[in-house]
Amino acid sequence: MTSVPAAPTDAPPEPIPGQLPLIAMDDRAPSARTPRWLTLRNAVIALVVLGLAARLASLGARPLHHDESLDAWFSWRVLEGTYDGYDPVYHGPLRFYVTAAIFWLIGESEITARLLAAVSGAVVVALPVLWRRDLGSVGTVAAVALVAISPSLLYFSRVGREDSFFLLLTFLTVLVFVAFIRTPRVWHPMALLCLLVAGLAVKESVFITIFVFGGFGMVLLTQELLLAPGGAEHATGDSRGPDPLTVRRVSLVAGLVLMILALFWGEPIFRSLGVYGLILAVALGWAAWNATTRGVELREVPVLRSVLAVPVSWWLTAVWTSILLFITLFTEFFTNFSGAGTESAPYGSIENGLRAGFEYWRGEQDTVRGDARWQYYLAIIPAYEWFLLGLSTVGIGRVLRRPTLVGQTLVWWGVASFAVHSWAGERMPWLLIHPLLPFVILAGLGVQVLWEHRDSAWRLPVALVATAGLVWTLMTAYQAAYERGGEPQELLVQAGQATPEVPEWVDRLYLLDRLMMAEEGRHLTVSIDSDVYWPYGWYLRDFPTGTFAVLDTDSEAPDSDVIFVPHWEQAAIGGQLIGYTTLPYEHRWWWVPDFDVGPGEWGRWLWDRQPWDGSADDPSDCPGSLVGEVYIRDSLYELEQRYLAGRDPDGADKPDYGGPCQRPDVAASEG
Amino acid sequence: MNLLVVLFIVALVAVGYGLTLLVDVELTVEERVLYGVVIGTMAVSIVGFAAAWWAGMSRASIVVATVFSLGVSGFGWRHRPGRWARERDDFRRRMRLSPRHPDSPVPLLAILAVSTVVSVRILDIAYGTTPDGGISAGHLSTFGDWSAHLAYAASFAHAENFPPELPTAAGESFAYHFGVDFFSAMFVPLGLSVQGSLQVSSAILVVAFPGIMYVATQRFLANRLASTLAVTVFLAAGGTAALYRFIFVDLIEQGPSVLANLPRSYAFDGFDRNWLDNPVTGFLYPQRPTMIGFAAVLFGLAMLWQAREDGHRTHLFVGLVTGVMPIFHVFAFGVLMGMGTVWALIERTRRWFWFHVPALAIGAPIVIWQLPERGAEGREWHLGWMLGKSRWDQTLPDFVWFWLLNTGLFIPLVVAGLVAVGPGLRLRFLPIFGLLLVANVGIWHFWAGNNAKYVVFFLLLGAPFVGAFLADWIRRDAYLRFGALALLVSLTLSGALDIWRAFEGTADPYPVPYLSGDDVLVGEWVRDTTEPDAVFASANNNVHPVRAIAGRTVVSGAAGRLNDLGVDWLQRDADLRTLYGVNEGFDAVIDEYDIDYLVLGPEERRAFRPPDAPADWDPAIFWDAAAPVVYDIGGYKIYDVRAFQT
Repeated sequence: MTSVPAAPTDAPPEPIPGQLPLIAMDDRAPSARTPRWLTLRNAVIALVVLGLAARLASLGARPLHHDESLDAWFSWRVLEGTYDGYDPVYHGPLRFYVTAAIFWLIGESEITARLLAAVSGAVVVALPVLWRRDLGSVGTVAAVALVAISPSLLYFSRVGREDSFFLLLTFLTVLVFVAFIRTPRVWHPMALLCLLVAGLAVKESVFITIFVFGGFGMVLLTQELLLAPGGAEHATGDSRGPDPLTVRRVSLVAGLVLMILALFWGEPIFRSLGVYGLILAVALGWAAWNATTRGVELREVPVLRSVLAVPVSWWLTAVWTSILLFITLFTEFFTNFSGAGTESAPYGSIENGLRAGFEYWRGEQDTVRGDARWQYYLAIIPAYEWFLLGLSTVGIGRVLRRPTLVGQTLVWWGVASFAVHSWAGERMPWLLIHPLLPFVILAGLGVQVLWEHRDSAWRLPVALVATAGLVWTLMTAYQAAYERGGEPQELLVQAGQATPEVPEWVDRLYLLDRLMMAEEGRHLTVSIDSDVYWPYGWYLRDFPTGTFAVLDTDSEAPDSDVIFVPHWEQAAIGGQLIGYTTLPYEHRWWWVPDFDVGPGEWGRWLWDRQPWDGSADDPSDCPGSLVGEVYIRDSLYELEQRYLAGRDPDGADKPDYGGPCQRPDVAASEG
Repeated sequence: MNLLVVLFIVALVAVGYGLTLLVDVELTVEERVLYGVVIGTMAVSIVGFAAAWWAGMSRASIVVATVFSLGVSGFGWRHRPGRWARERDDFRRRMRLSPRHPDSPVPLLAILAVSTVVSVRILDIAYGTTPDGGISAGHLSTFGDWSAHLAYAASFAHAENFPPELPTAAGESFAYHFGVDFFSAMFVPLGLSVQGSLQVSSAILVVAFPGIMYVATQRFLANRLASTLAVTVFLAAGGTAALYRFIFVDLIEQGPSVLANLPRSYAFDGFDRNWLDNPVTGFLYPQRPTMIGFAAVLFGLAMLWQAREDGHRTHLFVGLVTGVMPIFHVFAFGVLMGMGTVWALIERTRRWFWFHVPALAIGAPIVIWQLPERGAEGREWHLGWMLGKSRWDQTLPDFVWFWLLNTGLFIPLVVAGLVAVGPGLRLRFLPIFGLLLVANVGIWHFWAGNNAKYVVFFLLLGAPFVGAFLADWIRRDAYLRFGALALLVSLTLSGALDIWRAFEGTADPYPVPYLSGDDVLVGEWVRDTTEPDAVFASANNNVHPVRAIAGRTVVSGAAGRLNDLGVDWLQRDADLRTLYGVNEGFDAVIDEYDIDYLVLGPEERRAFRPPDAPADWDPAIFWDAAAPVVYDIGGYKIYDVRAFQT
């Protein structure tokens, strides 16, 4: 049973039944042969430093993804004072403010554009230590280590989108939520509400967090009402109520199953969720009635006791503080109350924060963005995290046998997030980290369980499998983060990923501009068609001339020195150009494979990332790219070649897929 | 910045930390880390210099030098086994103390946090880009002195300047304390640009400096408030000009918004009435050797002060540091030698032998090697420093007013502070007034303004006593507290505003164009395609791409800076005019300096145009016919003139 002290206190929390004793940070790992220096603190510090280094290493190397460039560009606009205000299409403004501050302090670059994500990811690595008495010494170290090396968590900690920062805010919210239920402090409600507001100011997915933990709160309260001792039981000390373990297991599993059924029922979502909420409410009501009839003092029921433990004045302070934070963030620090004025943010700033975000998010659920298949995460997460998921099943088993508050929280968080994200209209690789994180922490708990059973007969095979899985995970993380992080055959790479040609062209455009200024005394004119404009919008933010162009097959060719067009406009635009050198161009690339292929295809992909072709005669399942052409005025091209004579220009590295999807240009160059 | 750079920085701190374990005196973890930043920088630079000279400047030679330095520092780690573990545990214990506790490191961490934000921001905006694809300079420091430092660092990074010659004066020995610029150059093979290498290497040193000053002052005074005030009054020193120019002119005219765009520097007025610039914007940033020299003087003296009763090992250590100091900051060498000599006379113990022998044995030959070719030229006995050498007259009222304007009440407060401290400390620090004396009895450099380099060391070593005096007043009563506050404002307003101006980054006229896109093109071309040891004839202006980007040796860099170094810039200027004017003997000039390439760009056409030249004067008419053109883009042509060498 979860218990709380009667009033907020700064005293250390009491040991809670079902949990391990509090582990001091300077405790050594539980082995007589453990060296003296190997304390929990040292292990965690070393792993966090490692996690931070892994997140910072070569952070600017991968070309920017389309979304990363937009985030960086909006942050830059905040710094320049030209940000128009919150627009839910591009999500909340908080990360733009933070990144703008980073730009201001240490400069604008691809590294600093990704720094918030990287540092957030490193903080997430450290946070499981706060649940060390629930995870155990070995489990804590394992959880920290696994968060540090999880291929997906590492990869998306190095992507300059909002996901890593939002995951950090979510994790902090969950930590405060658990701490509040366990040992309420007066500042907990304020922290909780402010974290939710901060989350909303980063991404509208905070509604998912509220839904997931709202439901969990109802299930938890139902459990506590059913298990709370009645008046007579209090007096005698005898408990004649239902078995606590059974109540917790059944309510946890039933709550999750009901949620999954509701989400995938097929009825309009608000109807199905309404039914789900009604069922939870009825269960809660019944539990409350049951408790009342047994003479339970409701004020003594743990969850309710936590709520009542915080004085009303502190609740009011929490509300006012969070409102102030909301207004501060959504009005750009009280400088813009009129809002962005876009189609998706048509109201004033405050109303946009309150309404437009939810309306946009709700509208998005009726569309399909990203992968259309609800099984998407069922395929992609195991492809990278099978080892951690395997360990997490051991952790889940421990939770079902011994359902502590933290254990239940992790299972509910993981399964519910998985279900909601699979149901939601937008399925993107970066979203997988939200359901994944609780499973990785559960994997840490699984390691603790295995450690506790280290004397069993299965010791050797388990150790061998664990070693192999760990090595594979490390290699996968390394490959995804550093070697192939920008290449399409990685399933973590989304269709907006720019090819290495893009930053190469950026450098080339600046060189061409200097040459043009030097030779003709004027700036280079560049026209980049809107279809291939991002991430150039960020890279060329300081370019002296405008580079954006809207071209189509009916357009007159622009009179620019350099022109970028996608392949569907090549014939129309290129045909009009005389005196230009034509260069092939590859802008973005992707791979959207069929998942229901045989184990051979999956095996080859797992082994060396060799993509498969879904059908023998249709190569459309192979990695593809948005190709086009770049036209450079002949005289300029000749000048550039003259300037570069005798020097080896850097060439863009292209991946070698091998197998049925071999790239023709790579095959030709190898031939 | 990449991971290799981060690892390099971590390694050099580890080197420095390990080396501090060789001394006898007890130090805290924070002292070892902070001193270690500078000691590690010096050690790795010296080893790296040897490695680069031997095997060339490459990533491999830097890595080998770093690993070797780590190995050497291993003697320190092994020298006192368990000491660092005890110190670490002690640090943890003190971290748990209340910030009000005298042993708490929290005030130091706060100082370091502020210095990190200020330093990183100022250095981040040191360079920018211009619309024509060129480079802009964010501060006067960058625009001015860093032009020479860029050339020095680039000469090591891109032009294999071994054995070292002055890259801004072909054929001259490197009569300059170039250690910190070589340190910067070490970052280039690790992946940084030369500009980036100056920014990052400076950041490491200037972030640590306020912390070093704080912990060293703590050793002298054992007073946290006094130490904090000492750091403040030194770093924000700058005279009293702002008391009038800011409060009664700029603030009244423009209101508080003036802070968003301060119209001028208050500690520096273009060498008119103010001759002592702010130590941060006028010394630490522009005069890069001070980044090491200021710190070395402080930790050297602090260690020697601690070792009054100890064995000789500390003296040997500080003696070695002093001995190599001319490579990094020759003025710091002089100050350490001078103070060490006086302290030896006070103590009259044999352990000072261990200080003086290595300091002189290593340092003296380096100083002799660095002596400028013009010898004593430009030096003279002169009373009153700039009195009579500028708009100031050599009169008593001007003397008093000069020092009040340039230092406020700093000097009397040093006197008052020294009176208040113990006799041992007082006696040992009385020699700092010698630094004022030196500046007031003679002109020691080719440019009289350089005497400020002695006065700034007086400010550095006097600041702890000003801090002690102010801290004493603050602790007494409300009236004296108010008085101390007023004194603090009077001492720091000018400097603080100047630091704010550099930090805020929008003060006119900066950022200013520094190198044009055309300059960048030609600089990168020269860097990538010409021989590293090639000698160039080019304009002797403030900054030139051949020097700043390619690091190639030129006949003459900026005339004023060559004059500072005692190089005969006038003859070189005349030779360049002969060459570009294609006057009689131009081929002898090529021969004399072994010139390989002649650059003809906009600055050359402007600077070397004879006063009586006809309108169509153009050296290209001759050179096009006389020498092969190897580069011809934009306003630049480069000629291969090796055929003229005999």
